[in-house]
Amino acid sequence: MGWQQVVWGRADELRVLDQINPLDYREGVIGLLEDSRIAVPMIRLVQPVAEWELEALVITDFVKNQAPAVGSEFDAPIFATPDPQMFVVDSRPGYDGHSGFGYGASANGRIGTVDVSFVALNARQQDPVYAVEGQTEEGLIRLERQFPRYSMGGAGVAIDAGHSIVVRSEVAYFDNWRVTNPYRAYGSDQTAMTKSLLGVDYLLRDWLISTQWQHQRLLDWQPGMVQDKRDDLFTVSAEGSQFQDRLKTRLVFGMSPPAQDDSFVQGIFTYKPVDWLKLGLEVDVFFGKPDRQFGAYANRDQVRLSAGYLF
Amino acid sequence: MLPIFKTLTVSALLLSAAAAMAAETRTADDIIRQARDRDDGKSFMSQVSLILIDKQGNSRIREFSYLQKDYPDSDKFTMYFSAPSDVRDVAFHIENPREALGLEDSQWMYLPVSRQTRRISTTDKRGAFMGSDYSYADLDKIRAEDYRQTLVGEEQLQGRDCYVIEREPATPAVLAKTGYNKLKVWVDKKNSLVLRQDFFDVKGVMFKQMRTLKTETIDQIDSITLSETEDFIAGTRSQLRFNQLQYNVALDDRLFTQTAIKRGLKAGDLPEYAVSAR
Repeated sequence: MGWQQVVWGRADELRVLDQINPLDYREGVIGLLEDSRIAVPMIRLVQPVAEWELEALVITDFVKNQAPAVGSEFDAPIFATPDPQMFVVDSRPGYDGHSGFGYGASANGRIGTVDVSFVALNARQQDPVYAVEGQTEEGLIRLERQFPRYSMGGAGVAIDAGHSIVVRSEVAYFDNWRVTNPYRAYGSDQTAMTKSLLGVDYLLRDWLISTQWQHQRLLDWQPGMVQDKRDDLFTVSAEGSQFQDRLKTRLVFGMSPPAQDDSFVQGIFTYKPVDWLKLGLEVDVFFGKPDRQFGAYANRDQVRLSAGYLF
Repeated sequence: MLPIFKTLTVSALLLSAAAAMAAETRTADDIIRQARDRDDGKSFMSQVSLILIDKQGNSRIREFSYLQKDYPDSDKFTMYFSAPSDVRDVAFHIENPREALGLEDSQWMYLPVSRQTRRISTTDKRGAFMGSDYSYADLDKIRAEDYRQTLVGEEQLQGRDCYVIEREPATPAVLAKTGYNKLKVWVDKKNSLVLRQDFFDVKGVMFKQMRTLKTETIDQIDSITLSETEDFIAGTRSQLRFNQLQYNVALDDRLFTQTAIKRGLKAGDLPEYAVSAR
């Protein structure tokens, strides 16, 4: 019981099955998930059964994603809020008590030589959906900001394919997924959504090289939806350690096709001269068009230095 | 000498030489199999210190609990790191099928920072175990069939009579997995413990050496309690020190699953240690 982070799935810094915890985007969109996940209050039960682990959880309070401050260097069009010259958000219902609850269950184990996971979740969407409520006397469109409830079921597998290769795959089906559509006369659009991932890990001595393809699709897409009908994301990463584990390096290239419109390169270097001191350097370089997820930061590349005391 | 008598003599000599060579090969194989199959109990638990020593002589210590249990068709190992803080709760689970089954190992690693259990491929074991000079291949149980071995002599090492055996990978896959073009192994004649291993690269240069520094008899089983590996190229050394160890302890099967490493080791999971090695 308590504030916890629970990670489902085996994706590397992508979220297909990993839907429980909201994310803190206040310092950008490509921060490490371990630093971005927001703990939520929950009651969680875990029971090992032979080679399997069964899990059930109840999230007792709704917590949404944290968007960057408007106008900050981390703000981007994907965090856009309705234009006050055209819209007025005059209703923001809260989700206190049981209306904010989420429920989930998972089973993790092995079938033969294949690692398998099954998950199910009923929770609220962590990004706001704006439902049309009508018009004001001044002709502005009235909106209600909602965090609609949805259901998700999914599965994941991992297989050691030999030749230093592990193949990972995940599929999630989202039912009752809501999307803002400002062209509607009333409400918001409802659609089913699928997310899937295929990942390949190649182990080369002290380096792990991973490639991943994440595909998202709205099955009942309608014109006017603020979310694209399909969205693909590719990542290639290399992670390794050197100098008796003193230096850890992570290099990532990510893109939504076409690469020249929306991509990034990230380098994270962590050096531990002694066991109690960790020095970090992160370099994020973005490319693309200003209306795209990564391209929006094309003129705002980032360098971060950090130091930490470990105890 | 009559021609037929000459032919018979030469044939007899050739057959004797072949038999002698066959006996020598069998003997090297037998010695290695004996080392592989030596009694190491049905289960084993130990508190272990992994000591990393850099070129300047500075040392860093990682502490972990090492658990092992034999099953009908495999050996299973689990390691839980407890110190220092940057590796606390890192855990490994490894399943080694019996060599006769001809199957590859399975390996998982839990990283607390990402809260994920990762399946790790086991066809490349050249990587350094937790940054040490021990590779993942070095921590494997001896595999007799992966190598062609030859008995090259007998020597005394640390006052112990030893067989000296040279081993070369039997297939390219084994070479790719371990990175060792040749090994030279000193096996104690009396208790079949490996007291020293020299590792050679493709040019025949010895670049690494593993030395057993201390052995003790615990629960009537001869055990290595301190070993050291030195990398001559990097100028670094690493030691494995088994501080407390015990054989044939009651270890729950649930400690030897890939889901257990995410849960971690809790109070009450292990019996009390009855024996301490020093």
